[in-house]
Amino acid sequence: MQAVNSHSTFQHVNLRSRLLRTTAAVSLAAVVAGCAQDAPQDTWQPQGPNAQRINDLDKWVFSIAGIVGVIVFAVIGFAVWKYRDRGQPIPEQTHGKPLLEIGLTILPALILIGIAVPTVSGVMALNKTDDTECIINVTGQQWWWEIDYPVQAGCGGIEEPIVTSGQMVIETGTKVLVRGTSRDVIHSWWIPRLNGKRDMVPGRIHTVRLEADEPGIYAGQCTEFCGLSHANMRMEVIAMNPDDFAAWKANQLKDYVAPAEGSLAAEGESAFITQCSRCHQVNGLENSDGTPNIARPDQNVWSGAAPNLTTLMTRNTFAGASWDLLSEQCRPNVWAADSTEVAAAYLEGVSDDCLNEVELRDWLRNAPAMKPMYTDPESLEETNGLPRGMPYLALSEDQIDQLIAYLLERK
Amino acid sequence: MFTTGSKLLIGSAVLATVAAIVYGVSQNEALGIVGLISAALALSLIAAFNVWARDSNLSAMDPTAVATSDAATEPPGSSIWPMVFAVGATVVLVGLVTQQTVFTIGLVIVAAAGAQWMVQAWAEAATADSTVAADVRARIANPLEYPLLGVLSVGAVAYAFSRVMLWLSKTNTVIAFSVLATVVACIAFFFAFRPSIKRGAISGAVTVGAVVVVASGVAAGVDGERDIHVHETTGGDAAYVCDSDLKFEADKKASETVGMKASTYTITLTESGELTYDVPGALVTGSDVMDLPRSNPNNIVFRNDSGKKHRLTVDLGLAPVEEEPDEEDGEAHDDDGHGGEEGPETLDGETVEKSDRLLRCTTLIEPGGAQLLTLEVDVPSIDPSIIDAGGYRFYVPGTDAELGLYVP
Repeated sequence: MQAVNSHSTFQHVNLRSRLLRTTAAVSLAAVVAGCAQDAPQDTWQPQGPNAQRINDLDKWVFSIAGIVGVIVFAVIGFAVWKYRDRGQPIPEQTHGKPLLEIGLTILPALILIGIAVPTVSGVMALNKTDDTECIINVTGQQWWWEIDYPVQAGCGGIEEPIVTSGQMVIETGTKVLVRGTSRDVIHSWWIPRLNGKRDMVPGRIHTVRLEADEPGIYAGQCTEFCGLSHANMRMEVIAMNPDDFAAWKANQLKDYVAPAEGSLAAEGESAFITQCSRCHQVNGLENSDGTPNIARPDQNVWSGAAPNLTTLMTRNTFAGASWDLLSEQCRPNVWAADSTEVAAAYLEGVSDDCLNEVELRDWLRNAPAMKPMYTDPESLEETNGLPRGMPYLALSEDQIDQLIAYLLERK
Repeated sequence: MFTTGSKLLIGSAVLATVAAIVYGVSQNEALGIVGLISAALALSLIAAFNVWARDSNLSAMDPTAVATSDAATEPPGSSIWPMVFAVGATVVLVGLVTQQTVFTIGLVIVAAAGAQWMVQAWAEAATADSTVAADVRARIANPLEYPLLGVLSVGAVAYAFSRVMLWLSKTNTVIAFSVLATVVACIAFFFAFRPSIKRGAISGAVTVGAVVVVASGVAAGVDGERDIHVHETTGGDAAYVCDSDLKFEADKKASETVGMKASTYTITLTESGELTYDVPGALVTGSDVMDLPRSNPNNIVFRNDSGKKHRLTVDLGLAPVEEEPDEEDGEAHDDDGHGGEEGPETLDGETVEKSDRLLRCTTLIEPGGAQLLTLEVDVPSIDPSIIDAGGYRFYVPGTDAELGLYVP
């Protein structure tokens, strides 16, 4: 009997010890995770005045909440310990302590005022639009972001609209207003180091301010569950100084240059026209009869839009910014570059020897196998047979070679 | 235990249940099953009630009680319900030859008076003691009477309220009901601070208030509603309507759209006759061309700040050419109901030429009014067909107001 009791006690101690160890390990992991250096979506590393404002407010509110929490737990702990049941008689019951009650009403009110004033003023400051210096439109759809720069005096002057996707390029020190909506379901735009998140709702326009202090690449992703590939709906903001931004704009608007006759890229251009240009626009591309090639994604995909590929290789991600266009060897040259070099590295675009050809090939070979999308024609009754996302195109390996050669020249 | 009446009802309920099962198995039709199950449930309910009441406490085993009990020998008290029933029956007859509403009211009176008459008769048959009989009647009837009367009273007051609101002008409505709400709040405060006030005083005040509201409602209803702008809901063909000042509308859905007041594009026809636009954040565009995302249902609020009725029209280029008539059915097929070479049409007494443009528009908006236009454009502005057609533009028919539209 004694042996059984001893065994049971041992088991109990062992279980408690394991529980304690597990709890300690999880807590330690949580604390250590907060120290991660390579955390591109860390909201507590603000890189612009808007994010800084949120961060300052966070610190203030969490400090107050922390102090209140500690005091409350301490008082409860003290009361539980001091007045624990030791068989003593129940003390005399009294009714009401006006001074204490008034104090306990005024104190929380003051604390709430202390939180409310900076919160409300912060919310109003983050919703300001009258100091905007550049407007950029953002349209979400399953599962990528279209980004377009309307004609405006802002952004250093834009005389022709620029349409791109996945990566938004902005000037440092410029107050950018993102004007967003959605083509299908609700998405949410969030670049944690530059500002808070904002839902993009079909039929409505919502705005969010962005401003970056230093050149760099600021990552984000859709933060409103939007379907099968929600996790693969990412985006980046690339901030660069005004001169670099002007160079980027000029490059986006330069005339289309057709591939050299007889080259693999020229064959790729034909393949692009027959296979890709139903959905993807390349500005300046002409059909064989000399008429402009105009994509009609509204007739071919459910969202009615597909990424504009005019300058694909000036971006360094594809497919909803979820895969790199840069190879593993070249990627750090841009992504790990310091603020003085990042813009120049980014503006170089993707060269032949830096292309992440393996994944781009996989994508062209069978896109739905890489990124889950509703593209199976038999399961598209609700969407009139139109796929949501890029479907399987049954391209031959030769066509893929040609297309890659053609796309490499799109920069 | 089971009286003759109970047995009859139980038998009927069982029969209806069996019939429902047989019908359900033999016939593939839902309505009959629902009817039979409903009948079975109703009969079961009445049977259960009858068993519980045991035919007014008279033993079925003692038939003499029917003739000799106090309840049977005591003459019934006076009742208003036969008279009300008769009035209801008369109203039904009058309704049959006049209006359906009168007929319906008559039916309601007959049903209500009949129910009251039956309950009273049943209560008087249960006991010779008139006090107990009244109590029994109240126990059965009050749970139905009070909610029904409450609903009717509140409905009458609310309806009267609405008549008064529709009689007053828009501004006076706001003033009148602000004052009324204040008076109600003051009286409520007064009652709250005087707990000793007599119940009768409160009832009296509430009754007087209700009577005043109902009387005002009747008076306002007789005098008629204020002049309310009638919203045109007659559908028209965009190719005829959108380029005109006709009151017809081309987009019935637009008039059914719940108005959005924020987070939309806004196009305003100003007092000076210019078209201006406002987009959240459109502060540095420096452009007189509005841009809209392609292939996206964009909501645009049109505000008419000019002094006349106007509509906003968007010109989306040349209308698609109508297909040749199908040889089989001889009818032309058209994607969206416009285009083609049809001649003029007479609308609202005016001869209107059909436009060869693809148009979308709001209905005719009164001065100071606004309406939502949902616009989706799938073809980009760089498409040669759009460039050749002069590009997209918003305009206001009958004026020079115009605004460019660019779709990337």
